Amino acid sequence: MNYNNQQSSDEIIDRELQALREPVESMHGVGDAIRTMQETPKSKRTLNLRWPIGIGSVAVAASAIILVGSLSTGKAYAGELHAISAAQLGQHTMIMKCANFVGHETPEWTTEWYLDHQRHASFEYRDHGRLQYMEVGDGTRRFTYSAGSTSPSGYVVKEQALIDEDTSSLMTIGTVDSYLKDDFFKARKIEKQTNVDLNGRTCDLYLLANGCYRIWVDQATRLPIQREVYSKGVTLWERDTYEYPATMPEDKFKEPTIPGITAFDYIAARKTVTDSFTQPGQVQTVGGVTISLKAMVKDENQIVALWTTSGLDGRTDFAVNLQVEGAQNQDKLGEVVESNLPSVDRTILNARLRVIYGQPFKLPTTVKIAVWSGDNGKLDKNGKPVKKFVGWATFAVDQVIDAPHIENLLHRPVQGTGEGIALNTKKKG
Amino acid sequence: MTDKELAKKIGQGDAEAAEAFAREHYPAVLRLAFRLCGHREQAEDIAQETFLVARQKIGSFRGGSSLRTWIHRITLNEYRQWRRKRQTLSLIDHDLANHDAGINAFETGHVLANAMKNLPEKQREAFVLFEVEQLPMNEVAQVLGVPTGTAKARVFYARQNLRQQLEGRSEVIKDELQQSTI
Repeated sequence: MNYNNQQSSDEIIDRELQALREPVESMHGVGDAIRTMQETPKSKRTLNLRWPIGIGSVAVAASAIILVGSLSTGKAYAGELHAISAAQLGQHTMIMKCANFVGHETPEWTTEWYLDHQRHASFEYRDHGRLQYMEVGDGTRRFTYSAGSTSPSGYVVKEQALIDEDTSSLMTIGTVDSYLKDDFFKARKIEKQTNVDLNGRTCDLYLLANGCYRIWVDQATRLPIQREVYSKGVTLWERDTYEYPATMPEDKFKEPTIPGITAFDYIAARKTVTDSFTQPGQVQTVGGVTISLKAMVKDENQIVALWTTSGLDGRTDFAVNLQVEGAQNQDKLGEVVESNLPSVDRTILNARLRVIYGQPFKLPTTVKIAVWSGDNGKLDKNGKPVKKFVGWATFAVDQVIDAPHIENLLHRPVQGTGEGIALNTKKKG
Repeated sequence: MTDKELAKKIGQGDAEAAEAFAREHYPAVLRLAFRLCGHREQAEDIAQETFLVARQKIGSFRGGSSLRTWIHRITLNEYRQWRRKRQTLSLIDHDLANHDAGINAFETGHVLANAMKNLPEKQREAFVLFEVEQLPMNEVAQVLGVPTGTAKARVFYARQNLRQQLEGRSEVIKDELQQSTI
């Protein structure tokens, strides 16, 4: 790309962004939103069930946001289904299985979900039975295993911690009416067959979009009980089934032992890290400023120092901060970034150094942290103290906490709280 | 009044607080939904769903983020649910594609909006939040649930991607405009 092209592309982007930032014309206006906010809260969809299952690769792979299932056991009855449809989050039991044929005679991959009140488990199998991914959670902690594309891994986190970047944690299931009201289906042929037999159960069958969607529906509740998706109306692409209420196989909810895998316990590691904050740590005084190195953490591609300073407590806008002897650096110097870590008496600063992926470094090592103080009480135009570099604090370090993925340990928020995997004591924002 | 106090009032049924909240955030919610999904009617549905969820949850808002971040996050989740549903539907039919044909093709913003459709989803979300919604990077990170560095990288790569798409586009636009006025 030459400079002129880049410049003109940037000009287009910036000019067009001005238009995209304009308010969007609304047919209904803000009125509906105001009324919604002023009303007594009500269920988002009155007959929907919300599955408290984290959507990881399993769910994404399944592409099954609208789920239906089978009642192959024939144990579910209308009254129970009504009860289920009215149930609140986590107050029901279900098993859902999804077979993804994607045009082949046998499924390319299968997924299973088990939901029992606060407990849940999900599994994805590839290659006719090889476990690719699993999650088991009991409402307080969650075990995750992934065969991964390079190497398998397993870890334990606090429930509801955002490990997967796709943060939509709930799945919905609606009555067949949610399909029938959908613009997509409304614009296409809909055929209904009544009293159809499905594994000994009498139900209604809806053929939507010229038979591309086939949904077997409980006659009393109108909840789907099986769905099939066909490509071009002919080739079976996916079949989703589930049963509810269901007798749960207990073995599905046990944290498994997987040969060759030691699950990393982020909950315990987080406690180790945060416990270190209550300790004095290694202390150095440089130019009248006290630096307390609380802990060091590393993963495959970064080393992090956690420390406090008496110099400019709470500031993170320092240009030069961290050097680690023996580390194969990607950057010359480490930067300070914010974290979701709790503070004790002073803000825990989090300086990180990116290193060449997978390159080890030897312990003990020498860690140098830049020391800053205020410049004789001078203030900048924003009223903040002018900072002044006063030297380096040097520490001999012989212990570093290993974590497979530092972000999970230091940063990932618990959904809806903005807090870290272990709950924070200090609110941000 | 802090965000937490405002949320508490709304949760307790304060109509004025609820109206103030909706008036303040509805435009951004609708714009975010529209810029992400590209369909005006669907964006209104996503916005409506967003406020339904917000009303349900605002009583338990803990102040762990700003209300602006919080409502953007809900919008993003609602959009993602919509998108997953559409992904399944698109297996059947691809004719949902472009509602913006015709004269709209020459409106300012259309070229970039079209190019944004070709971005990887994660880059597009970050780009819209940062460049269109103009949220600070730390809020973008909070909404996406990723570290700030990751959010920055996504915005950077999105812009790089858009540059590549738009290379030479300025000449094409001139041609299109000339033809449209003939």
